[in-house]
Amino acid sequence: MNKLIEIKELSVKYSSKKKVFGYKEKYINAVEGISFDFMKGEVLGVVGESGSGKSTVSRCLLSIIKNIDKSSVVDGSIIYNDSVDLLKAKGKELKSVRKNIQGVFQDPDSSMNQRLTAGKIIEEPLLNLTDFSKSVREEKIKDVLQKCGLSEEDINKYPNEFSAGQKQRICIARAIVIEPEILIADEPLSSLDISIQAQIINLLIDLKEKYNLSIIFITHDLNVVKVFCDRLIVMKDGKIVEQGKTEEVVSNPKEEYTRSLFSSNIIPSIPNNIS
Amino acid sequence: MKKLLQILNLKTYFFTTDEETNKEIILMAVDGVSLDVYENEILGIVGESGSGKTVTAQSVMQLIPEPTGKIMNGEILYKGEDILKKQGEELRKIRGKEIAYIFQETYTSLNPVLTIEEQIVEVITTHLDKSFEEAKQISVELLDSMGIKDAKERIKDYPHQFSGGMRQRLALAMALAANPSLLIADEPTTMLDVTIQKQIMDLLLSIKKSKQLTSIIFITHNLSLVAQYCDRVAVMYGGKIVEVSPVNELMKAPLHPYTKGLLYASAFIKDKNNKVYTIPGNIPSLKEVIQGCKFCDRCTEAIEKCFKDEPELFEIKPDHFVRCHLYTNE
Amino acid sequence: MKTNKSNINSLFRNRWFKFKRHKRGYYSLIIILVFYVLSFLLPLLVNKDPLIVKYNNNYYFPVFKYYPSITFNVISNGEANYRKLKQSLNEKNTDDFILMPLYHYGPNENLLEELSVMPPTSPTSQNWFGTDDRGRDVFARVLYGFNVSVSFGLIVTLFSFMLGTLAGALSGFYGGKTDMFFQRAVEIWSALPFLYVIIILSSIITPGFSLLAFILILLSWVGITLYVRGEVLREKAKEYVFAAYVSGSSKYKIIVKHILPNSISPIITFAPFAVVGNIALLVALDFLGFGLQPPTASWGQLIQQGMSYPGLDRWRLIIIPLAFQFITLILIVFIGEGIRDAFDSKQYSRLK
Repeated sequence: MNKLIEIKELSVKYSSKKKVFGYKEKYINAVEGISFDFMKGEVLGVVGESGSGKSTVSRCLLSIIKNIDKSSVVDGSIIYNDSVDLLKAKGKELKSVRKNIQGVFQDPDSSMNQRLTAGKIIEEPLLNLTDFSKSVREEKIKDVLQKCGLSEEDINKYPNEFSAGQKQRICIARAIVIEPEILIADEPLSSLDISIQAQIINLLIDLKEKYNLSIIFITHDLNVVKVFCDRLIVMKDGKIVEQGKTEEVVSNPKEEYTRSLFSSNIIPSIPNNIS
Repeated sequence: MKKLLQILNLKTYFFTTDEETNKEIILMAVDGVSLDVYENEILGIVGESGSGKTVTAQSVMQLIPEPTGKIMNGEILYKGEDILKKQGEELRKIRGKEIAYIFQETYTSLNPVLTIEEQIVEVITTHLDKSFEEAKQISVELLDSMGIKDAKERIKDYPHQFSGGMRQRLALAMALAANPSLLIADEPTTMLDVTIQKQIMDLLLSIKKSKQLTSIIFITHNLSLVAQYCDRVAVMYGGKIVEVSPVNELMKAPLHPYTKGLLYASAFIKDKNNKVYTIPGNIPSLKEVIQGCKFCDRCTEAIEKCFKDEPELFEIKPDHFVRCHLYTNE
Repeated sequence: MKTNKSNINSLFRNRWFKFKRHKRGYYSLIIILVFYVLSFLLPLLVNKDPLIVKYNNNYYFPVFKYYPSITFNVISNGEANYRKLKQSLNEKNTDDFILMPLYHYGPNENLLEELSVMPPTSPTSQNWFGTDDRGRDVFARVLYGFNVSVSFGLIVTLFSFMLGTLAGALSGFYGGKTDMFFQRAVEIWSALPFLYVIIILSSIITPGFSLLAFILILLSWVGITLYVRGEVLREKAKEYVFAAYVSGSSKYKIIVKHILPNSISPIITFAPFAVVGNIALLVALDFLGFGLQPPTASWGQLIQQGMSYPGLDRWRLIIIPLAFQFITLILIVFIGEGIRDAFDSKQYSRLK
């Protein structure tokens, strides 16, 4: 297994007070000096509550942290493929990074432009990051829609004509249509109903195999990680509290915090009449 | 056990117009719900979006906005009296004093422009015969019992100066200020972190044990919390109740296929094909009219009868009700 | 689920149907549109120049072309008086004919020769609203004035909104120094004594339609800026913008393709009211003498004339243009109401 991403001493600070002519700025530490590796072919779970810094990590991985908040102070490095620092990539380098690292976000409603059709939404990465002709693009869109459990007719529909689960499928389709190497999934299930969550997880499992994806899966739901993630990172207040193989962390949590996290959210018993 | 609340055949519909055709659309949010809440229990109501759980609870409090929505039918007996018939002054005596309600969003329960003190004192002076000073004193004690430190100083703060979990405690304090007998908690923990959720649930449990609060209706989609804290649970789907049973029975041996699906999906259990167990299809929109059982098109165990006739809710075992044709012959 | 055969954005379609249901707004829109389009055809409908003249076996089209009066054997300065010509041709009973527009007086035509009394004159069967103090037909002037006023309102609104939207988008999207700059600009601009600036400018240079519009655009672009800025700030933080970055879209593309189309709500809801304001402003300026100058047909100028005359003439010259202005503005206000309802409606429900 080779290392895809190496995060070294990543720190992100947001300024909490507006700088007025040289006043000293007050900072909020979102992420404080974390380091971890991400290997090819694995599903790495990043688990934490709100304020743990997990969203900030996903934005750094997607190289959009500076776009979201210009004033954030980012230290450390995220090295992709031993060659590019995701935090510093620009121009052509950034373009080739984006071809390989894509993302899915939490709320399917706000992660799509409601004024575009599903087809146009999925087409965007193809337009920006590839040179494919119109017909090739159309083929790829139809193909990816089918793989995500949607149909060709959905190309001309608008987001408000779909159910929540279908909307998230469109977002996933958009992320994988350019066949990236890495998928960053930032709480993709949190806005969905339970029965739909299971469908989407199955889709992700399926796509991981079909597209040979390596996935970083950010969540606060601990039932999911047991079934989807190979390794786990537990974050609290911007730091990594525990990490390791999922089975080990779940069955034998070393830290107090991890223990309290797990004890409060897991279905205690499996019904004994599974058909 | 005595029944504190009885909901009988409640039907609450919403009315809207299709923009293009100008035709009226009827959304049957709650379509014939009958449910009992006994004294001294925590009843969980579980369902996904569109199941009708929130609308049911709001119908109890007559919080359905007219003319968009209307309670078309049904009786709700609280301590024997039909509270749906109550209006004006009588209704106000029930709301807040007998039955309290807390919302998922803390800013729905709390007014952001008033201090905590002002809000709780208002509840107390409205429903209990206490003076202003007495009310203030009671408020501080209430906050203290909710686990808020430095209650005497913090009571003069505004809601936004508290964290999400704290705000939910404040909302609880306000709800309990007039000593209601029934508390309806509509997804109070959904917006909170996992560790805070546990704290709030423990708090609810301790309140029920110690105070005059007799019963709690706990609405949620989180089955693990239901398993840990509820005595009985009702499962709703498509505006109807599909199963009611004591919690342990439901967790160990659920009967309705939807309940089974929900439990397996929540636990992310994998089936033989290494896929997570899922309920196929989509949650039906309220506009759709489905013939037969509302769940039939998604049910893996459906038989022919399911597509023709709608099953009735009946008691298959003592205290265990189910709405499913698979069991009607037994 | 509906399958949309049309390619119109279904969000807009919903809003359009909602707008249609607001009867007052919908019918007002139809009325204004019809009359505004017709007003561009006014030269063919209300004019002193005939559409076709057949004279001595030749066809002439005075409505489009200028013919010196000698062409028709009439001796006078400039063009012939076609009404008199028509009369004389009818008497002659030859093959020649003149086809006049429906109402055969023009807005800038001086009728002193044809009038029996000193202008302004009362309404007659010839001049339906009488004449103003220069002997020009009031009916024609009022109708042409409609075109001028509405066009002015539309053009000023369109361009000032375009400028304001650009400023608001840049301000909201880039933040920092750009934002500070634009916000200060808006503040300074808003503090300008609007009317005085126009008065001063128009006493130096007598503005025509375009120049006046230009000045007004420059002075009023700040109106919509802050609203657009607010919308942009809100949209900027949404996940679909993040997704657009991740999909490799450039900043320009993000603003134009994603953020702006989702920020137009305030623009559309304010536009009709801005048009109303600009039309009223034009009439006021014309009334004060600082707007469009005669002989351009304008309502404000007619009202101003009315002020100098006693008795019935005053009422006629004031009330008629005011009435037209009132009807026009109120129809546009109804349209604005309908739009606001469709875009921004809060369904009012009662709780017991």
